[in-house]
Amino acid sequence: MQTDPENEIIARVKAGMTNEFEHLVRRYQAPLFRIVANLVDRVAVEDIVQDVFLTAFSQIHRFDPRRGAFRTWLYRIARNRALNARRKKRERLMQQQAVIADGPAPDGDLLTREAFRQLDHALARLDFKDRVIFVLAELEGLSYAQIAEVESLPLGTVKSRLHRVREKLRQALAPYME
Amino acid sequence: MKEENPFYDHWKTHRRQIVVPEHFTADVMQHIRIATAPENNECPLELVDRQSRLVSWSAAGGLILLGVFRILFIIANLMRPQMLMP
Repeated sequence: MQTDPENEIIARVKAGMTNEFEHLVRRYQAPLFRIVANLVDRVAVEDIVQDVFLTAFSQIHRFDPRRGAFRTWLYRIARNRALNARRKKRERLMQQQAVIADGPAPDGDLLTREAFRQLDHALARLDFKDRVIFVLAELEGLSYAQIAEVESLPLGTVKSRLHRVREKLRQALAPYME
Repeated sequence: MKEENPFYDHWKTHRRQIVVPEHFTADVMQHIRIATAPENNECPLELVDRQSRLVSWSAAGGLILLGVFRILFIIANLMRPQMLMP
């Protein structure tokens, strides 16, 4: 029987080979930065992702590869940590999210920047679950089934929510359709 | 969506542009090594949260008790006979 190399790494970490965890950090740090940065204020991203890894390490004995993939388990921790961070900052952060073009400013003309601003606003107004679904599907390319696992939602709900999110974003872009 | 508007894909690309700091992996592993070092084994990572929560609750309990005693002290002072006399 073929074993998943990732599960072998996890087994070694569980057996006390702490340094093996570095492979997992290197593999998942970029996607976790992307996911968290699109769910919370970018200023807090590094701390949150670090917390995700520390939590994953301390809880790794609870991870059972027969019950799901490590990736979705890790993303679920990230999603929960991001939600906690948002709750701490409450409404103030929610308002700031509307202008979270706090990454590099988009290149391009005024029209592009305005369209981006509208999309950022539309994203900021989404319900947290919808936002997670959008980030996992559209930015990380996860399948419906994987998203359902992260969000603990039925497959059909994920599909309908994602459809609704895309519709909202489409509406935000409506003025730029001509 | 992709076919409908060129801004959408451009925007998604923009939202994916996040750089992981170079020191990040080393920082995480450093935290883990410190937490798992033999001298710290009495307090593994999962216990840190629990212990800090316990300290917070103890501190809060102490403050509440202090407040209650302070209120009782004020009431006791108000009830003294000389305070009731003109």
